Amino acid sequence: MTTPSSGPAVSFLHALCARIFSPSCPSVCFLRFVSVLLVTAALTLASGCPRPAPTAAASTIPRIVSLAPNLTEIVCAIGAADCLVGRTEVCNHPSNLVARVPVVGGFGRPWLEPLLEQKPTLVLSVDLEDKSLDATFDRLGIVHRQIACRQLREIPAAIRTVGQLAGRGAVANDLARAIESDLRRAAAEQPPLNRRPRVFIEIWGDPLMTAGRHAFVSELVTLAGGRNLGDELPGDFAIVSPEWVLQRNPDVILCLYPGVDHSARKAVLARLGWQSLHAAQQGRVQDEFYLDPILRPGPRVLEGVKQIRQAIEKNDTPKKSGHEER
Amino acid sequence: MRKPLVQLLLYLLAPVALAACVLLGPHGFAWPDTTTPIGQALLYLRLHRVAAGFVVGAGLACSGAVLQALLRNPLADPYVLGVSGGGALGAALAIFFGWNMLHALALPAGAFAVALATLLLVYRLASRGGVVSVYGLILSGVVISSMLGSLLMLLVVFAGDRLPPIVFWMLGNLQVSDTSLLLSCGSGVGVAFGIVWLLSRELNALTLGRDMAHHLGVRTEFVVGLALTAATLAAASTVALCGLIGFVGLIVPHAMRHVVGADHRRLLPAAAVAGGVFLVLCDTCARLVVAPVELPVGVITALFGGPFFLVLLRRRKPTALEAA
Repeated sequence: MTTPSSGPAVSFLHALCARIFSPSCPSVCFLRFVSVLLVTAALTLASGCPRPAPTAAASTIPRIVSLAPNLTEIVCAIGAADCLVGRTEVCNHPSNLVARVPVVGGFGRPWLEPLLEQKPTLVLSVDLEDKSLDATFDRLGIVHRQIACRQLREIPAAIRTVGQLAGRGAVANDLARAIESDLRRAAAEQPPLNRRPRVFIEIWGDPLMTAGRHAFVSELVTLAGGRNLGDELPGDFAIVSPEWVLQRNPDVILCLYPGVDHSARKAVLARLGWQSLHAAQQGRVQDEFYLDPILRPGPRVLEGVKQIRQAIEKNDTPKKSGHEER
Repeated sequence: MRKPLVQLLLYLLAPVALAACVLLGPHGFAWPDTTTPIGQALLYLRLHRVAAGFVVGAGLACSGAVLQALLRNPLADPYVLGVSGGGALGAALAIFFGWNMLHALALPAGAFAVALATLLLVYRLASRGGVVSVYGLILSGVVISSMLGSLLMLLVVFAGDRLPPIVFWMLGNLQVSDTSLLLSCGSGVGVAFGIVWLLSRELNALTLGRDMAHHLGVRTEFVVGLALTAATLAAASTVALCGLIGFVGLIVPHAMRHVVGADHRRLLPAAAVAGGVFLVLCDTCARLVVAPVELPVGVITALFGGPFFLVLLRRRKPTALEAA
């Protein structure tokens, strides 16, 4: 890699050589040659030596690399997009701001060389695929912060932490407070538990995959006034049997995966026996979502809740059934 | 006397085990309430699943028994000639180019076509002057499998948001919803079984070595070619039906050889029935053990089949295949 100082250094060496090797006696010429060699070696060593990267403390404006799309959204939402020097290939929002930011890896999976080329001072991640990278960042003098941001309650705290690290504490605090207040309001508007429709969240169709009680999207369904069938399952996501869905007979089915022209809904309704489910009979199999705010714990969380609430409330309230009373 | 008795027990208990698997649900034994549409759907789902498990298990076990005899290699399984690699690549191509969105049968058809094309290529590479060598088959099978595996990895790298379906397909899944697919793959396995069963005597001779079989009057080239095609047809049909499920094709033929002997006239039907029942039982465990969460059936086949196979190995007598 060419350093910014290499151009003037080379011109200086050319001039020096022309001066030193002007006609003279051989021994003087030899001594001058040796001295030039020594000077050249010293200059090369000086320019090639690894310099410690500037730390966050050394500079007022941090150079931030985000290794998670929700953290990228947070950085941009608090007005620190100008500090962002690297992102993952799945960071796509806000598109006008992230488009200019170089891609330096996948979600939690940095590509070290492109990342280091950006000379970051702060690397933000939700989780690293390779935990040993922590030591690498330490050795290179790069501050790495792992930010917990997988659950609803963690979003305001994550915004505040990122704000402090990016030097935008006040803006971050305002945003976090606004989100907390909106979440409280949404929670207060929820109907009682026995009147909420039972929702099957279909994360994938084949094999059938749903969200368990620890999944972020399950929290959104609860906040939007539904009851996630998968809340009886531990963990985030699980492959489940179609038998179980038929036996639970959900009132709403949300297909949260990309499809073309209602292909997900058509596939659900084409399954054996699924036309008899409450959800199918009441026309409440929904597959048209903008998925990022729903699946990504970040500043657009309320947008996700709104989409799910609209999907649950579509086609009026469900007919009162034995299932809803349970 | 013992072997016919064990065989009889196997054939008598098989329908009982299959019926039990149809009735077993997360809440124990129960006949679904078929007066409601949901109850009918539950019954159909279980029947489809048990049928798919039986077809796949029978196809893999039968194919494994034939390949172990033809290749005279106790480690041979239905996937040794590159069928799994070919099938996986075919399915991945169908997903990668979005053909599976155009038609439900595009994915299994892709898997089946590439699996068969792989066999033809391996067979062509292994033949020298019209004679196919056993070692040539195994070596070209292994090499072509590795190359197909690399191509698959290349597709996976560029798959992007199409990665999950490719990975899920490779895990294997017996919940087949398409009846026509089940029937067509079942027919493939049935035809393959019929062919190899008719070749039972020739396969017995081939376990003694190709020269010995030739001197006993077996048209070795014809029989080897036909039996290989039939074994691959069975394996490719199962791959097309439900993805890759390991272990069944390796352990069931060995276990049955131990139980009913090495005579293919008895071995092939016993392996088919035992393979089918074994896979259905494993799948029932996979869907019930942590219900409603489903485990990949390959995990159960390896967990149950591995120790069982090791016990048999400890108590074994040399079989005709090993003696040869």
